[in-house]
Amino acid sequence: MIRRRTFLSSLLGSAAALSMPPMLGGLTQNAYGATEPVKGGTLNVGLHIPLPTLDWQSTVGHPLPHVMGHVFEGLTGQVKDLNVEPELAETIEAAADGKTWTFKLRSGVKFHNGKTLEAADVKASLERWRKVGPKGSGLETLSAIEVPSADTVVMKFNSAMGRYLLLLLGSDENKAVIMPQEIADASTTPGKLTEVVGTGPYRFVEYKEDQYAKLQRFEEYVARSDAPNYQTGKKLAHLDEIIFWIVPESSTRIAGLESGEYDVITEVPDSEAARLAGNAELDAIKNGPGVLNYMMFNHKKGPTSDLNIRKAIQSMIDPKEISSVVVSDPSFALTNPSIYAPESAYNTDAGSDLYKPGDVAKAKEYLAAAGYKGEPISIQVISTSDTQKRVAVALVEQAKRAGLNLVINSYDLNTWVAKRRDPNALNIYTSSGYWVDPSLWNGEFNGTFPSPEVGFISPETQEIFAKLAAETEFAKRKALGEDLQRSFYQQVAMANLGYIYRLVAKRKKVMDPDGNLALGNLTLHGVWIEKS
Amino acid sequence: MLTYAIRRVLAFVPTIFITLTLIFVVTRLVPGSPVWALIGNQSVDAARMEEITRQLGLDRPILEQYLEWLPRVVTGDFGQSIFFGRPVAEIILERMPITFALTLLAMIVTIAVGIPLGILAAIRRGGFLDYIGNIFSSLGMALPSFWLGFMLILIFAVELQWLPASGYRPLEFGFWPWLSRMILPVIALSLAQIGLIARMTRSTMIEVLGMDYVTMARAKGLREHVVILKHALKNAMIQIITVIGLTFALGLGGSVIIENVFALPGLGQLITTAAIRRDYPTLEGGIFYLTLVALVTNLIVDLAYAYFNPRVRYGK
Amino acid sequence: MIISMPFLSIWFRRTNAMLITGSFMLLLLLAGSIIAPLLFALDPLAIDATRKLEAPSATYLLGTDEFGRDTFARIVYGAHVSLRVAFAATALTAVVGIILGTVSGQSRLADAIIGRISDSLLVFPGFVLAIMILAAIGPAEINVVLAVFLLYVPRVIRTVRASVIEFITADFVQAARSVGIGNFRLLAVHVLPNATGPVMVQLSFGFAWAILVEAGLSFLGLGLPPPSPSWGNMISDAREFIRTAPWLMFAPGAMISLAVLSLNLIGDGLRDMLDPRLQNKINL
Repeated sequence: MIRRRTFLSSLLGSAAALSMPPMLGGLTQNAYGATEPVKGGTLNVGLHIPLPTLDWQSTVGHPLPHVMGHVFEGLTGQVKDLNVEPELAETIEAAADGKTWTFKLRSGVKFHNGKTLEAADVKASLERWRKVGPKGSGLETLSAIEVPSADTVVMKFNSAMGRYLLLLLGSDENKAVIMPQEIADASTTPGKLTEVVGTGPYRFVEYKEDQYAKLQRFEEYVARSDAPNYQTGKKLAHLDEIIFWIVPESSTRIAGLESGEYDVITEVPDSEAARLAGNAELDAIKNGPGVLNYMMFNHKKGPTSDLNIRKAIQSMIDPKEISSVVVSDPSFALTNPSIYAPESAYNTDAGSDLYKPGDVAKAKEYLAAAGYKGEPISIQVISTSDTQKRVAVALVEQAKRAGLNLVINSYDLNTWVAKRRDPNALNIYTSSGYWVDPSLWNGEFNGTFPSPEVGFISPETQEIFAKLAAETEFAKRKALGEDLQRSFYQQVAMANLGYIYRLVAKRKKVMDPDGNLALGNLTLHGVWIEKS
Repeated sequence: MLTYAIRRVLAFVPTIFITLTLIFVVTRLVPGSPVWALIGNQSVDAARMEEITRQLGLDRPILEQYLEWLPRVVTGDFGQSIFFGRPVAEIILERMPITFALTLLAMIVTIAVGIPLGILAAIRRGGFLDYIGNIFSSLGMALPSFWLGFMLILIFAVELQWLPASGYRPLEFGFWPWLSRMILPVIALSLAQIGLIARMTRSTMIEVLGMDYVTMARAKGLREHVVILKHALKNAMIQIITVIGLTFALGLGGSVIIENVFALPGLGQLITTAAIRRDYPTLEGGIFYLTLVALVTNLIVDLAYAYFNPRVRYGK
Repeated sequence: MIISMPFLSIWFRRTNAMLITGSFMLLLLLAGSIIAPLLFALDPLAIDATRKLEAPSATYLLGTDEFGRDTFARIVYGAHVSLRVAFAATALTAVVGIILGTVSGQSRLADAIIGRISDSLLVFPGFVLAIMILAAIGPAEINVVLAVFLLYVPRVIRTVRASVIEFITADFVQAARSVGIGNFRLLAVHVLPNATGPVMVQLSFGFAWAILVEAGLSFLGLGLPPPSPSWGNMISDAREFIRTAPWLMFAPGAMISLAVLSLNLIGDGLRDMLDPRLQNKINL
C-alpha cells in the first residue's frame, strides 16, 4: 500500500488545466468513434492488491477506490480537470459567510437494496464518515447537519469553510460515500459494514478475500444527464459484470493479461511498457497525474532536525539519477521543481533557485557547517515497495559521494508506519503522492504529519495556510502556493525526488472512449468490450 | 503400546500450551497495530487512533488479554478477524482446502515419482540410473522453490502459454480452470520433496535388500520383482510412510512461499497477509491450525511407528 | 568445531565420491568469490544510470541490473554475504544445539522443558515465525542470522539428544561411569566426540538449508536490507525483469543451487561414510 494523494482540484475549476497523459501503443482514436458501445460481457481486472476492508469510509487504503468507486457515490465526485463536481447533489449553495452549505439531492436515486435516497441517509453517512474516516477530521468545525426536507441537506460550520469542503467530500482517497441510514447507523465499528449498499452504476455482489471481488450492473441506476466526466457526470455501465482478481505478483499479472485471462491490469512496472506496447493485442496506458517521490525528515529529533544537515541532503540529491533508476522507461519519469503535480495549474518553479540538484561541493559545505562526523543517518523503506527501495539505493550512493553515511532500514508496512511516527526511530523516509492544490499540503506542514513528535511546522507556513483558507481568487492563491513552495525549499521541509507516472495495461478489445484508464485510480465508467 | 500412546498424548498437552503461548507472545511482540492496515497508511490524530484501538480491545494490559485469550482459544474460538469481520474459524475453513489440495497433489506426485525412482536407484545401486536419479534428486533439493516457481511461470505460462501463470479459481468455475492453476505450484512444491523421498526410499531399500529374509527369498528362487515388491518394499514401506507423513506436515508450512508466488489464497497466504496487517485473531488461528495439523500428523506417525516397531516404545 | 579422532579415522578408511565432489564444488565457489575481487575491479554497489539492464557482454559477464550495477560483481560479493549469513546461523545453531541437546539428553527435567519448546518450534510454520521475528527486531544481518538459527536449532537439539541418549546408555559409558569417571569428563571425552558425526551431517544439510531460507526470506522482503547483494535479494529484485532481463534472475538462482548442491553432497558423503542408515535418524 503506497501512500496515496488524490488529485483534488483548485478552488476555481476553470484554472486547472489538465493535459491528459498520452497513450502508448497506438490506441487508435477513431476506434472509439467508429463503433457504438455494446452492452454486455464480463470484464476481468487483475488488481495489484487485496482489499483490506469493504468499508471505504474508514480507509485510505489503495484498492478501495478502484473497486468501490463503481459501487458508491458521494455528494461530489472527481472530474477530469482534477476538480470536483456534484454527484449525488443536484445543486450546491454556500452562504456568503461560508458557514452554511446547502446540498439539494438528485431525485429518484435508488440504493442497490431498492430504497430511494433521502436526506436522512446523507446525514447518517456523513456522521459516520466523520467518526470513522481518516479524512473525517477535516469536518472538525462542523456544528450541525440539518435535514429540512427529504431532498435537502444543510451543513453548518463554526467558521468559514472554503470550497475545500467539496474536495474533502469528493476525493476518492477517502470519499464521504453515501449509504442507507440503517446501514450507516448499524455499522459502528470502523472497517465493518453490515451490508455493502451504495447508489453507483454497479452493485457489489461478493468479495472472496484475497481471491476476487465481483460487481454486477445495477439495472435501476439512473444516470445524471450531464456529459460523462471521469468519476461523475453521466456514468455509463456497459458491462454486465466486473471481476477484480487479486494478483499481487506483477509478473503473473502481466502473464495473465497476455494470455487473455485479464482484460485490464493495474500497477504494471514501466519496464514492461515497450514490450506490451509492441503486442498487437494490448495497449499500454500511461497513467497520470505525475506522482511526486519525496523525502520526509524527523524535524524534532536526531541529525535531520538540523537545517544544515537537511540542506546538505537537499544539495546532494540528484533527482534525475533517482528517476532514471526508479523507472526503466525514461518517458515515465520527470524532474520538476514544483511540489504541485506537473498537470496542476499551480505547478510553478518558484524557489527552484534554492534547488540545485546533485551539488556535492555544496552538500559538503553544509555538512561541515553542521559539524557532521560520519554518524549514520537511516532511511526507512517498506520492504515490499520496489520504488522506495530503488529510491533509497540511489540516495545511499549519492550520499556516499557527499560523504554522508546513509543506511537503509527496511520494514514491513505496519512496522514502517509505526517507526515513522516514532521520534527516536525516524531519521528519513520516502513516500509518494500527488498534490494539485496548495491547501492539500496542509497536513504535511502543520506539524501533525506523520506525527506531532516528528512533523514539520513553522510560523511562516502556518500563515500561508491561514491565508489560503480564506482566499478564493486563483491568481492570489497561486501566489500563495508559490510562497509555500519557496518555504518548502528554504526550510527543507521535505525534499523533491522527482516525478513518476504509472502504467495500466489492457487488451485492445476493451474500449475506453473517455480515456478514464489514463487517469488516477481505475475508473471503468463508459468502458465496454468489443465483441470479436 | 497403550502406555506409550498415553505418554505421547500427554506430552501433546504441554506442547499445545507452549505453542499457543508462543503464538500469543510472538504476535504481540511485533510493533505496529492493526489500525494502520485498516485505515490505510495515513496520519491520524492520537484520539482517533485510541478510539479504534479501544474498539478492537487492544488497549487492555497484555496479561489481561492473554488470560482472556487462552481459555477461549483452547476451545478453538479465535474470535473475529479484524479485517474480514467474520469468525476466524470460518475463514480458515475456506482457505484450508486450497492449501490442502496443493499439499496433497504435491504429495501424490512426490510418491508417484519419488518411490519408483528410489527403488530403481536401489536395485541398480552404483549404476547409471542411480547416478542420474541422485543428480536429479540432489538438484531438486537444491533449487529455491520460489525461483523454480518463477522459472516455471516463465517457461510454461509466458513462453509456451500452456498453463495460466497464477491465481486461483474455485471449483465452481470448472475443474480444468481449477486444476490448471494447481499444476505449476504442485511441480514447484514437489520437486524438492521428490528428491527427499527418492533418497529415503533408496537407502531404506538398500538396507532391507541386505537383510536375511530377502536373501532367503532369493535363495528360494523367487523372481526378482517378486522379491523386491513383495518382500523388500513391504518392509521398507513403514519407514517410507513415516517420512511421507512428516514431509506432509512440513509441506503445509512450506507452502507459504509457493502460495505467494502463485497467488494462491491458501492458509499460507492468509497467515502472511495477516502478519503484515497485524490481524491478530486471524494470524493466531491460522498458525495454530497449521501447527495443530503438524502436531497431530507427528503424533500419528509416532504412534504408527511404535506400533510397527515395538522397540521404540521402550526406548525412551 | 572439534573434529574428533573417530571421525578422522573414518575419513582415511573410505574414499567417497560425493564428499569429494561436494567439497571440490564448495572450495571452487569459495576460492572464486575470494579471488575474483583481487583480479578484477568489482564494485557491487556503484550505480550507473547510463548502463542499466544491459545484457551479458564481454564487459559485464552477467549483464547489469536496473541500477546499472555489475551483476557479476554482485554475484561475487553476494557469495560473501549469503555464505556469511548461512555460516553464522549454522555455527550458532551448532553451539546452542549441542549444548541444549546434551543437557536435554542428560536430565529428564531439562528434556521435558527443552523438548517441549523445541517441539513447538519445530511445528511452528517456519517462515511465519521468521516474519514475526524480523518484524519485531528489524531485518538487519544479525537478525536474519537469528531467525534462521531459531528455525533450525530444534532439529539439531533433537539429533544431539538422540546421540547422547544412545551413547549414554551404551555399555562402555556405563562401564566408565562405574569406574568413577565424572559426568562432565564423560561427556566431553566420550559422548560428544561420538555425536560429532551425526551433528556434522546435520549441520552440512543445515548450512545448505540456511542458504535457501535466507533466499526465501529475501523473497518475502525480509532478508538483508538493500543494497546488500545477497543472492536472495538479487532474485527478489529481478522479479520485475523476468521477461525483459531474465539473466538477472538466472544467475543468482544458479549460484544458490550450486552452493546448496555442494553442501548437500558433502552431507550425503559424510553420512555414507559414517553410516548409510543414519539418513533415517536425522531430522532433515
